[in-house]
Amino acid sequence: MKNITLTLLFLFSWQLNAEMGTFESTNTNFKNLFNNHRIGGPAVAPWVGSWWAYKNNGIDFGTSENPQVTTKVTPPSVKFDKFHNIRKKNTSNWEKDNHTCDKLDEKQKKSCQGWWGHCNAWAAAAIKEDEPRKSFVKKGIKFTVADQKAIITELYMENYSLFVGNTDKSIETENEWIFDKNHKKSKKIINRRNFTRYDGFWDVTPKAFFLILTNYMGLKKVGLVIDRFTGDQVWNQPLAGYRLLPIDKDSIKKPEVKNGKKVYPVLLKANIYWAEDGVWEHEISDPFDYEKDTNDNFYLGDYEVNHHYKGRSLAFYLFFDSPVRVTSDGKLVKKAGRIVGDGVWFHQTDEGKKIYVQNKINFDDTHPDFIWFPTKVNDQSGRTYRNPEVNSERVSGILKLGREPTPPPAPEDKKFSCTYELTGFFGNRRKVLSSESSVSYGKACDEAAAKCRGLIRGWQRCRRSR
Amino acid sequence: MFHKLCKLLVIGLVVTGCASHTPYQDSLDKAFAELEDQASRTLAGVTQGIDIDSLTKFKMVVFPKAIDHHVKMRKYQSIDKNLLSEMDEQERDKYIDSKTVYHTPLTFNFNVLKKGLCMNLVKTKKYATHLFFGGEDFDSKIKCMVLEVKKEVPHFFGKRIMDLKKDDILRVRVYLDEYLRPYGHSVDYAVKQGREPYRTENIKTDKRENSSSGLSMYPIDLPNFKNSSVVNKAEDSVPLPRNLFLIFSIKSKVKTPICKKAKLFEHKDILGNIVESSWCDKQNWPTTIENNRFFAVLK
Repeated sequence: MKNITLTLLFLFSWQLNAEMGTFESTNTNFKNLFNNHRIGGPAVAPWVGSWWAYKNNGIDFGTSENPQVTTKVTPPSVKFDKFHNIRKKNTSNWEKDNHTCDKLDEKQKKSCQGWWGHCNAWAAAAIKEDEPRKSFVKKGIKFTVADQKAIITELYMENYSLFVGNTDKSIETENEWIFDKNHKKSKKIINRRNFTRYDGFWDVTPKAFFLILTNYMGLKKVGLVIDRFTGDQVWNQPLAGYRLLPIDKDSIKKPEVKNGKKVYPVLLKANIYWAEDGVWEHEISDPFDYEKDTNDNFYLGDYEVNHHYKGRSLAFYLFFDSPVRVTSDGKLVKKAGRIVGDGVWFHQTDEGKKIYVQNKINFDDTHPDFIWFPTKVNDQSGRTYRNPEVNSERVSGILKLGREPTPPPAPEDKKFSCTYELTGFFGNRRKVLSSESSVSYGKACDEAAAKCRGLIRGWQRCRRSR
Repeated sequence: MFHKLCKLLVIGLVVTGCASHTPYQDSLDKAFAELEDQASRTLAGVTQGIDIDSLTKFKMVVFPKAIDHHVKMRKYQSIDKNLLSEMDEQERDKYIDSKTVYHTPLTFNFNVLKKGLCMNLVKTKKYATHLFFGGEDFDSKIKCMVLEVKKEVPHFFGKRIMDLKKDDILRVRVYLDEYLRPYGHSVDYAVKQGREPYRTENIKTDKRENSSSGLSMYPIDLPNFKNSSVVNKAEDSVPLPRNLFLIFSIKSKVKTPICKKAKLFEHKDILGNIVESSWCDKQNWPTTIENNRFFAVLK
C-alpha cells in the first residue's frame, strides 16, 4: 500500500513538473542554444552592394547599367542634388572634398586607396533596408539600382549601433606581439581598466561570439555586422548566417583538474557567412538560404558560397563545469554543463597557431574584431562623417525606407528538439533506462516519442525531459 | 641521497621557472577562477536584497554612448588611443570620460506588474509567472516580481510620435527575485513599421547570471546579489561621467545632488562587458548603471 501511495505521489509530481512548461529559448544554456539554434541567420539575408570607395570619391561615382560600358555616367550624388534642387554646397561637391583620398597625406592616401569607403554604412543598410532591385523614374530623373543603393548607403553613414568587442586600429598585426601578451606592443593600454592591445586583438571572446550568434541571429533572427578584419583595417560585413558544426567525439577533451575542481574543454567549430561588398554597383543579390546553401564542412581560409556570399570557418574552445555528451552524429547535445570562463580561440593556442601558419592563413582573417548591431539612422549626429545634405527626410522623398514585414513562420515550420526518457521502477525509485532525442518540424517530438513508446515494457513509461 | 634531492629540486625550480602560461592555460585559469567564485558563494555585500514591496513605478534616463569602432577615418573617432598608454589610470579615465560622446537621452518607464511570494507567483498564470518561476525551489519567504520596462515615446501636441520599425523592442518584462536573480525576460518586438502588432519572445535566463540588457539600451543590467563574482567596491559618491553636456543634462532631468554616498558594485554581463552600478542609501533600485553602451540614472 505504502509503495503504491509513494508511486502515485511520484507520478503526480513528475507530471506536475512536465506541465511547468519548457522554454524553447534560453540565453546562456549551451545545450538548449546548440540544439535549437545550431544553424541560424537573420529573417532576411542582407544584400550585396558596393562599398563606394573613397578612391572613387564615394557616391560621386557613376557607372552605367550596361556593364560593357565603362565611360562614366551621372553619379548618384548629382541625381540626388538635382531631385532636391541642392545647388552650391551640394552632395556631389561634398563627396569630392570629404569622401575622397585626394586630400590626405601620402601615408594615409595609400591606406585610403586600399580599403576606405562606406562599408560600415552599406553593412547597416543591407540589414535594415529592403534591397533596391528595380530602377524607377521620379521627377524625370532615372534612379537606377546603383543610385538607390548609394543614397541609402550614404544615409547610414551615421547610425545608432550597439557594439561588442574592443579594438585598436593603430597598429598592424604581427605574430610577434599578438601571441605574446608581455610584448611591449601588446601591453599598450587601449581602454579603461588596463585593457591592453593584446586583449583588444583577442576579443570578441569565443563565449561572447557563441552567445551573440545563437541569441541574436539564431533566436531573434536579427542581422549583425562583423569587422572581419581582425587587425588594423576595418572591413564591415553584414552576416547572412552561421552554422555550428557537429561536435565529434575527439572534440570533447579530457577534463582539466586544478585544486580538486574539474573543467571540461570542448573544441567547437563554426562557419559564418557574409554578404560581399566588392561587387558592381548595379548588382542585385543572388538568393541565399543559410540552411540550404551551406554545409557542415570546416575550411581553412575564406571561401565562396556563391558569387555574392562568402564564408569562414572558426574553431574555439569553450570550457564547461560538467561533462558534455552528444549524439553519435554530433548534431545534438545530450548533456552539457554551464560555460565557465571566456573560452579561447583555437588559432590562439599553440596547436592552432601551428596549423594556421603551416597553411599560410593570415591572422587578420580569423575571428571578428568586433560585432555590432545597427539600430537606426542617426539624423542628429553633430559630426560630418555623413554627407550633410543626405538625411532621412530627403532620402524618403525619393524611395521608400524600411523592411517589409516578413510573416511569422507557420506553426508547421517551427522546429522542435526534444528528448524522451524511458523510465522504469527499481524498488521504490523510478530510474531512467534510456533516452531518445529528435529534431522535428511541426508536431513536437513525434519521432522521439514513437521510438520511446516502442520500447515500453510492463510499468515502464516515457516522459519528455525537454 | 641529499645530492639527488638537491638535483631534483634544482631541476624542478628550473622547469617551473621556464614554464610560461600559454593562452590556453590562461583561459583555463579564468575558467577555474570562475568555478572558485561559484563555489565560495560569498554574497556581494547586500545581504537583504531589495524591498520589492516598496517598488511600484519609476523612471530611468539613459544616455546612449556613441561608439565608432567601425568608422574608418581616425579624425572622426572620439578617442585617440595613441595617447592612452602615456597616461596613468586616473588620467585615462578622465580623458575617456571627457571624449565619450552621448546621443539624445531616452527615458524608460518601469512598472511593477506583479509582486509577491515567489511560491505564490509560481501558481499563477498572469504574465506567465508560472512559466518563468516554475520549477524553482523557492524559500517560503523569498519575494519575486515582474517588472515591465517601456521606452517613453515622445509626444507632439498630445500625439505620440512612434517611429517604429520591424524588430524594434516595444517592451521588456523582467522576472526577478528580491536578490535580483533573473529568471527570464519576455520581449515584445514590433512586427510592422509604424504599427503596434507585436510578437513575443520568452527567454529563460540562468538565475546564477546577472540580468543583462544584451545588445539593447534597456537599463536592466543589474547585479545579482547571490552571485559571488559581483564586486562590492568601497562606498563613494555617485559616479557621474565627466562629460559636461551629460552633467548639465542630468541636472535638468534628475533631482541633484543625487546622494552623498552610495554603494558601488561592479560585475560582468553575459557578453563579458563590465557593468558598474551605484545604490544610494535606502533605495531599492540602482541610482546609476553604466556599461559600454550607455549611462543610466534614476529619475
